[in-house]
Amino acid sequence: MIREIFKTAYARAYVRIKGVNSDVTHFIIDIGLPLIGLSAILLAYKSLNAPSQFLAIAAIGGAMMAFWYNVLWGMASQFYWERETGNLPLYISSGAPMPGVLLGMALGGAVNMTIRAVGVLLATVYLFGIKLYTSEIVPAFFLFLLTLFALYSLGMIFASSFLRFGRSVSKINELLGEPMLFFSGVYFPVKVFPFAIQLIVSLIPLALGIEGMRELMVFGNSPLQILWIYIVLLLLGIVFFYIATKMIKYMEERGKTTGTLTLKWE
Amino acid sequence: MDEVVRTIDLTRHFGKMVALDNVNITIRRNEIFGLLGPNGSGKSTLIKILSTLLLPTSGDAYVLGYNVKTDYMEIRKRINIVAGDDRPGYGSIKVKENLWFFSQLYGYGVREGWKVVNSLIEEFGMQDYADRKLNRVSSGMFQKYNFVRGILNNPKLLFLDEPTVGLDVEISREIRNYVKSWIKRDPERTILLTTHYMIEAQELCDRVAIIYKGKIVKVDTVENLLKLVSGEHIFEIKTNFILNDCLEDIKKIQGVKGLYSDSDVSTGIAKLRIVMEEEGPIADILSLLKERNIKVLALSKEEPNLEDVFLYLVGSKLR
Ligand SMILES: Nc1ncnc2c1ncn2[C@@H]1O[C@H](COP(=O)(O)OP(=O)(O)OP(=O)(O)O)[C@@H](O)[C@H]1O
Ligand SMILES: [Mg+2]
Repeated sequence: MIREIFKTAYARAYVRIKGVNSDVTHFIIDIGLPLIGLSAILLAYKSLNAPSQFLAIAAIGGAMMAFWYNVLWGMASQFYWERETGNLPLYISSGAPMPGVLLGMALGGAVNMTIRAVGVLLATVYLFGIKLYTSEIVPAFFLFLLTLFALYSLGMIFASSFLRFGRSVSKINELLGEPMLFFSGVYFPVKVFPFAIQLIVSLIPLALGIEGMRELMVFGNSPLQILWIYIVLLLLGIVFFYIATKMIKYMEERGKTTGTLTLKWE
Repeated sequence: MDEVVRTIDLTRHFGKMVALDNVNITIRRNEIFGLLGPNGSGKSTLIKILSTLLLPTSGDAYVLGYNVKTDYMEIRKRINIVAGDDRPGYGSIKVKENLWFFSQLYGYGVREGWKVVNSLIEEFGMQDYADRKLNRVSSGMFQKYNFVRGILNNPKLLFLDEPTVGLDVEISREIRNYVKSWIKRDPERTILLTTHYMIEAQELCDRVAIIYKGKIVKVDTVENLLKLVSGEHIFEIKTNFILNDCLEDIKKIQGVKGLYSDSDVSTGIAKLRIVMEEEGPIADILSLLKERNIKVLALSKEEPNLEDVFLYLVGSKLR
């Protein structure tokens, strides 16, 4: 069973990575556009003579932002589109494990986005002369992976449960887009929020990941000081992943009863 | 296992709508079983239940001996579906990569999948466009690709839901030939085909179920179904523009058992197909048309087809 899941995931990820990277112009656009948005913020900080740490804070947040959009548009609304083309019923009737399909979507998306995020980060480091601590690069990378694990597991929950919104899924995505980025403190440290909000925010994987990476790479702290972030991310990831596998099962059962599994233009 | 499908009082509601109404059919091993019925008669609903994508509201269905409600995982390993109005796959990757992707879902190993895909591409003469992106192929090529995807896992039961819908005559014929040769090659293979093209049913199916408003009206071999109307006389009349109330008047003529018409808007020519118990009334029909100043362009006696059977059994036209 585990083997089946990984095999399905590999195939689904392959398709996603091949599909997205088959066009070089897309790649350039994917890095170029976020870079423009981020540059606006960085230029504003620069012209205000903000301390250089501010630029580093924004650069890390800006590079991570793309993952959230990928979770929304590449995961949450994915099954809606797959149902339109007829892929979803074929996945289900193939007998292949659906958690494998979800995992593949996540892996493919994460790989695609990582290449782009690294591109954006390197470009800003070069263009704005941002200084980052690299002594803790390995723990930072590990933290990054944990962030993706939790974030994309959340995306898997969205993918299965958002099927019931039908075509309104794009509105839901818009609703979740900016506000979530705001609370994740993409361009500022979440410490500016009141403590109560900080507590809630610490359940958002993206916010945690960004915060942790800043601690390591901007302030040069040691991973031991932010051990709690590692633990929370790991727990969130496990819980989200578990819920996602239950959710996809539930979605299938419900769809078979109501007839929505194959319904188009819902 | 000679009974590949068996349904017992199979019923499916959508709200108040009854999409399938106490359907009892059996499909035997190695036959092409056709479901012939107009739009909305429940053909796809039956396929969805048998392919474990939809649950019945009441009644039971068994596929290859497995219950669709409980043993669906066993069924899934042994079936596949090709629906003419679906566009499965991913447009931004190549045709052959799409096929490989599906081969992985169907349980082939990574390299084994490529091997199977490459040999099918050759067998089906798809070399020309196997390297093209899926969103760059014509609808004929797409349907061929989709058929190959459907047989990739060598299913015991293949569902073909209007596999040639919207395709031109040439490609439809090509697909029909694939279907015929595919099932001939292995006695373990069985096909359930839905269509509302009577030629397709006539050419492919060993047995046909006529379905109307969720009910199975009749199941028999094509030959036996045609016998139902063999005693009847069928005429086709081509006229210029004809009004509905005139058609109603023709239906009232003694001896006319059924009539349906198709008018071609672009040419303004109407084609009437009339089923009669005897040849006599044709004279009355012609004089009625003359009275109404409707010009008869052609008149011919026709061999009965499934459309006439449908008309005879249900009293309305198939399309
Ligand atoms: N998921 C669904 N939810 C609600 N109603 C449905 C659903 N699927 C089918 N129906 C209804 O059930 C009836 C039978 O539909 P079905 O798709 O089985 O017909 P069909 O014979 O395949 O028609 P066609 O030739 O147009 O494909 C139709 O009235 C349709 O509107
Ligand atoms: Mg249908």
